[in-house]
This record gives sequence, C-alpha cells and structure tokens, in this order.
Amino acid sequence: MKKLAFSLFGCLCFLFLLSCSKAPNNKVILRLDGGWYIPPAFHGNPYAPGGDGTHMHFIWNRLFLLVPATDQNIPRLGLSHNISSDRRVLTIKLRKGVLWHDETPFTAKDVKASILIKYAGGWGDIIRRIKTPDDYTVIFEMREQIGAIDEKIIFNDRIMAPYHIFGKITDRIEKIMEEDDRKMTGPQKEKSAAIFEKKAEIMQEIYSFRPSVPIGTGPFKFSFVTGSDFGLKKFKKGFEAKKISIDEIRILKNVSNDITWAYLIGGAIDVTHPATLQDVTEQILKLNPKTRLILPSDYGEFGFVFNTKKYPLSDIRFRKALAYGVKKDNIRLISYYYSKTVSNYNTGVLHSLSDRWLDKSDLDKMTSYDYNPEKTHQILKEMGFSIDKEGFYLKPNGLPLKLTIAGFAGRSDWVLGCEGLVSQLRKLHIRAEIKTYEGALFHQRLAANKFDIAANFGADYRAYAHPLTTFERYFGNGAYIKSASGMPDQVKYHDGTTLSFKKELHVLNKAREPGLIKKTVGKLAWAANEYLPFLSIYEKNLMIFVVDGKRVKGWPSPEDPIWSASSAGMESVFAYLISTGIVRSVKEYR
Amino acid sequence: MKLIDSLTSRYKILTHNNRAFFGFLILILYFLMATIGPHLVSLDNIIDYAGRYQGISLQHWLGTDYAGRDTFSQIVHGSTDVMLIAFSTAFFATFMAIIIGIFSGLKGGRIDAFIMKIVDILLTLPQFPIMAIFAGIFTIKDSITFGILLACFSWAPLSRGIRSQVLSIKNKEFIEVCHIMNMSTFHIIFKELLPNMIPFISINFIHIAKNAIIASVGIMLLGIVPLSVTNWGMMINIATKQVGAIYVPHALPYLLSPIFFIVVFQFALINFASGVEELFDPRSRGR
Repeated sequence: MKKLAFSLFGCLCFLFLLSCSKAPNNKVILRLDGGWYIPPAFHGNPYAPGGDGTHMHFIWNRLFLLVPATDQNIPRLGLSHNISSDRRVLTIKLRKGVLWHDETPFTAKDVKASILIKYAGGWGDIIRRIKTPDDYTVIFEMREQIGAIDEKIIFNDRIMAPYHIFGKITDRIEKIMEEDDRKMTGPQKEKSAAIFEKKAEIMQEIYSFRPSVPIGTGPFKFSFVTGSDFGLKKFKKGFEAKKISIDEIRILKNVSNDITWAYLIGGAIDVTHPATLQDVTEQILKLNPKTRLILPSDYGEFGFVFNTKKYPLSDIRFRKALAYGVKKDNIRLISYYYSKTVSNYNTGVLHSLSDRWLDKSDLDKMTSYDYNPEKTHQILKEMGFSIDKEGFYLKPNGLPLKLTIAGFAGRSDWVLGCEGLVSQLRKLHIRAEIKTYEGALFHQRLAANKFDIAANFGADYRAYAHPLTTFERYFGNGAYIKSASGMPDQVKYHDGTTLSFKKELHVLNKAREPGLIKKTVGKLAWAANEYLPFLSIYEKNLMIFVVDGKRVKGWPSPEDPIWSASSAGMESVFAYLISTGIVRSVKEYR
Repeated sequence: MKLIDSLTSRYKILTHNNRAFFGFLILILYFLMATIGPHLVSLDNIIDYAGRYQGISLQHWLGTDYAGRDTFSQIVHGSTDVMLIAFSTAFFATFMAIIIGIFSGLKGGRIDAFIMKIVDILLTLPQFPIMAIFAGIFTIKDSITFGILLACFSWAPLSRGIRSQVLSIKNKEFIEVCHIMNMSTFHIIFKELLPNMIPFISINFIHIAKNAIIASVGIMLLGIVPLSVTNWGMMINIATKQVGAIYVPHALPYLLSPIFFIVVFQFALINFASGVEELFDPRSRGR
C-alpha cells in the first residue's frame, strides 16, 4: 500500500513538472507595447470608451493609408477614388474579396455605416447623402464643394462598423441625414437643434453597445485580453493573409515611458515609440545592436500656449517680450533631443513644410523673434515692470510678477519642456513655477483659461500635411488653442483691414487656386506670428525603435517615406508593413 | 531649575544610548542643512545640457543632473521643503491620531464604534481621486499647509492603532488604581497612557514622515502644489520615471543622491526613536 501511494505521488510530481515545462512553440509572435482597457472594462465596440486602444490598428483597416511625405494614398479597403469636376461628388471603389473576422463579406454598406457613425458623432455636415450603387462602390454626394482635407478625412477613417452588426442603428442615422438635408435645403436654412439631439441620442446608443469581441477586417483578429497582455492572431482569411508571415501580435501593457525603456533594454519588444532622452536612447542602442531608431516627423510642433485673457499675457507686448527672451533650442535639448529645431517665427505653419506654404515675401511682413534677452528687458521696462531687491521683476502695480507653467503630468517630455521654460524665465528675472495636472484635469484647466502658460502642441498637421488643421486649432470657433489662449474672432491685419478668422478659414478650406491658398495661409500665419497665441519650441519627431533581425526583419530604412504615415498612428504603419509582407518573420529569411 | 534638571537627565539618557545619540547628531546635521544650508550653497537652475550627468568632483560634490545642474545644491535647497513637509505631516497626523484614538478608546461603546466606522471609511477611501478633487478646489502655497493636507490622509491608521493600545492598557491594574484614587482623566492620559504608547507613536511618526516625502510627489503631479525639482521625492521620480536615469550608468550619482539622503534621514529617525523609547520607558534602558 505504501509503495502504491509512493508511486502515485511520484507520478503526480512528474506530471506536475511536465505541465510546468514550456511546450515547444514555433509560432512567430511580434511584440510591441500599448494601451487598452483592462477587463472587465474592455469590450469589442471601438466607438465607446473601453473598446479603443493599440489593438485597433491591427483589427480595423482604413480606406487608404495617407503618406504625407509624398502626398500618396495607399489603397487598403479602398482601391481607387474619384472627385467630380464640380468637386461635389466623391466616388470610392472598394477592394473585393475582403471578409470581416466573423467571415461576413465586406461591402460598400459597411463603409457607409462607418461614415454615418462619424456623421452622428459630429463630423460630416458637408455630406448630403451616401449612395452604394453596388457592393464595391460608395458615392458621397456633398452639399458644397469638397474642402481641402475632407476626402482625406474619409480616406483616413477606420472602417469599424460592419453593417450586419451596426446596420439597425446606421439606418436610423441615414434617416437623420436625410432630414438634416431637407432642413438645410428647405425654407429654414438653420440647422435644427432637434437634429443634434437625435444624433446625440443615437451616439448614446452606440456607446452603450458592448459586444464582447471586436470584429474588423484587419490583418489580425482578437485572441485574448488580460491586464498585462493583449493577444491578436493572424486572420487567415484576410485579403493579405498569404503575405503575412507573423502568426500573432502580442501587445504588452505600457503605462509610462520608463516601462517601455525597460521592455526595449530587456529585448522584450520588437517595435515601439516612446519619447526618450538622448542618454537613454544611446544606452538602448548600445545594449541592443539589432535595434534601430527611426525619426519621422510627427507633423506637430510642441510649444507653449499663452493665456491672452490674463494680465500680463493679455498684453501683446509682454508675449513678444517672452518670445524674444526664450532660447528655443535649450528647451528642445532637455525636453526632446531628437526633435527638429524650428525657426524664430511662430506662424503655425510646420517648420519642415514651411517652404510649401510660405515664401520670403510672407516672412518679410512678420516679426522674427531672434533670441535677444536685452529686447525682453527693454520691452518689460517700457511696460512699467521693475526689478525688486531679490532681482526679480515686479509688475507695474508693484506686485511680484510670477508665471505658472501648466504641464501634463503623464508626459515626461512636456514636463521637461516646462522645466526648460521655467529655467529660462528665471534667467530673465521672471519668477516662474510648474504645475502639472493629470489627464482630463489638464485639458479642463486650459478650456477654463485657468493657467498662465501651458505646454501643448500648436501646429498639428496629422496625416493631412495641410495647415488648415492647425489654423482651425488656433482660430476656429471652440477650437482647442483658440479656447485656451482666448484669441478673438478677428484681428487687425498689417494693412489696417480686419482679418476675420472664420472667413479666412472658410477660404482656406474651399480654395483650389494655389495663389489664393498661399495668400490665405500667409494671412493666417501672420496673425499667428504677430498675435502670438502660441510659442513654438520644436517640431516633434516620432521616435520609432525597431528591432531588426531578432524575431522579425525587413523594417524600411529611416528615409523611407512610408514612415511619414506614422503621424496618423504608428501602429497602422506597423500593421501595413506586416500585412504587405515587408516586415517578415526572421525564419523566412533563413 | 526643575526643568533644567529634567532636560539634563533626559539628555544624559539620550547620550547614553549610542544609537540614539548618533541619530540625534544626524538629525541636527539635517536641521542645519535645511536652515543654514540654502544660505551657504547657491542654487543655479540654469540648464547646461552639455554638462549633464557629470560625475562626483570638487566642483560638483554629487555630480550633475540631466540638465547639467548641480545635484548637491538641489539636495541642500530641497531639504528645507522636505523637512518641513515630513515633520509637519507627521506632527499633524500624529496629533490628530492621538486625540481621536485616545478619545475613542477611552469612551468606548457607541462613540467608539462611530469613530472607528469613520476611520474605516477613511482607510478604504481611494486617496487619488479625492486628491484630484482637492487639486481643482485648493491652491496650496506653503509647506506647512501641504503637510496638513497630507496629514488629513495619514492619521487614520495610527488612530486605529492608538485606540487598540488604549483598549489594551485601560483595564490594567495601574489604571484601575488611578480610577480608585480619583485621579483626573488628564493625569491618566498624559501620565499613564501616553508614556506607555510613546515607542509605538514615535515609530509611526517616523513612518508618516518618511511616507510624506514620497506622497508629496503624487500631490505635486496632481498640480495641487507647484512641482519642485529639488524635492527629494520628486528628484527620485524625475530620475526614474521622467528621464530614465536608472538606465544610464553615469547618471548614478544623480539617481542615488536623493535616495541616500532619504535613507540616512530615516535611519537617523529610527535610531533617535530608540532613544525616545528609553526616555519614556525605564525598563528599556541599557537593553
């Protein structure tokens, strides 16, 4: 009996040890890091909080992938497009043979459903109706001429609403669109508030939809999700499945840059994009010789928003005094070493694309804020500021001048940028302190004008490579920088005429004649530079670390224009490179 | 005269205990650093990127940080805030905990149950969202108010501990004797209960002081108080989280400096606490 018990115990121990041993796994798993909602908050509806995250780039496809560097639209779900001569009809031909992850065929109705949800969400008043004459053609009929980036917004949108899942809701949105159109073209031209309410109600319905699993057309489909890992597996019936040599994607949870640095140094991931300081970057590259750094432009400029509603920043002379006294490159070095230097102008036109949009005659009309601290002191003294016993400036009323720089707590590069600015302000004898705010609190404070100066992005071209997005941000009604800075609706132009931002933005959006476009850009850039709602510090480069040759290989060279598409989401570029077979398993190279 | 005699005898007890005396000396050094230090060592916050992460030298006793600024001067200038925040938090939290804990323990019954229910609620409340709300309402401008804010979140665990101590002591013979002899509640609390709890309270005082340095970082990141790059807790946070100094070998002096000063500070407090125990508990002397 004893022997039997002993043998049984031995067998159990053996089985236990066997189960602990790792089963041989020949699967090729590409690892990266990212974020998602941890279960049970996670669900499969990408339109509602809880369903979004890094996985979206692999699960859902766009119509076209926009490459700003070459102004190219790479076909994804869309194959070709055409805009009518009057610029009122956009026709998109779709790829055939595409399946959703539940194996339902992808059709034009799915594109229509996705754009209808975008319309209900607030974008797309320009669209009169969407037609689907056959399964592979979508026609957008517009109320007015297609604007500068309208078609690109449609191209860039992820098609995430399968009609067989969202159809009942999107049919109702279509009815709202029809009603909206009748009201727009009928006797009462003003948009009815009822339409907004109906859209809001429908969006609430969409937000409350909680499928357990996301369904897309992307190269990878949902596999599992935990608090630490998100698993995706190759969609074997995907339209590019044959080219894909990677079996699984594993996304590791990323809560902050320092975690990503640890992942990189430990060789745990194959591709990632943390903002990283020079010394840490050098260390990562030194310890991992297979790691390469790619630095495409983010098509955005980091800098500081001035609250023009609060004294002394409400006085343009004071803002100009600061612009003269700040050495931009010193802030760039500590905040984001691998970014691009910008010029001494603050036009809102992205520095690297400046030649496309501004010429010398435009710049000649503008103030160049060359670093000149003496000029800062001269302006401040002219304004009545004086120096106290401790060597810091007093306001004209005798009270101490103290500025608070607001930063976003989770973004280390922003906080370091604030530190750089505080250091320079102190050098200018201006008392300054940093206050960092977490998440939504930061944006709330900006929206409520509860700050003096705040770190943020000014120029923000995204994938569209067009200054309209930035000028909308600076001067558009209710736009982010305009609300935060408190810029007025119109200003005096250098020739004494009134510059109405609403009017100029409309012209920039609709104009097709290059001369008129450049002239309008020149005017808005002048206003940005002379009224200074924002001080640009550097043009951000994305820092993409790729490990070439460990598990996967074939990452394009840093000069490849495809990287410029990263400004609309780097993971979309990774997904494109994997699904087109450009990035492949190392095994395939052997 | 009696007071001087009492102080002299206490000083002798303290010096008799080498550990406590050593801790006491270190605390004096920290006190001097926080008070006189900032007047002797100037703080230059100007960024010198090329001079970042310099090693220990005569010019930079503790090297330089990621922006080329002297680490030692940051430590010295940060010590004032750190000391004030740590001690004011510990003082106010301990004060609140003693009053509430003793009152609750002595009263007992429904009052005790009610107070402990509140303590339980405070212990389980998530501090982060509450602080985020505080961030929207309050603006704190000095270290003492900062300490009071931190104390509001730190007193509850200690008050529960003190209440338990009171419950275990209040039925002992010597307290019963006090009651029989009609001694005042004041006497019972200050002459009988408190001396018995001093070792427990002093250790908790140290823990609260230590935790306050780290907790102050969270509050700074919430924007309730201005972010201070010379605060030792913030220095560690910046070094590890923001600039990745933990991954850069030549950044070690910068990374380890605030850690070293916090560790030595705690070490001094703990050693000093052992002396405090001897002051109030003759049985522990010479152990």
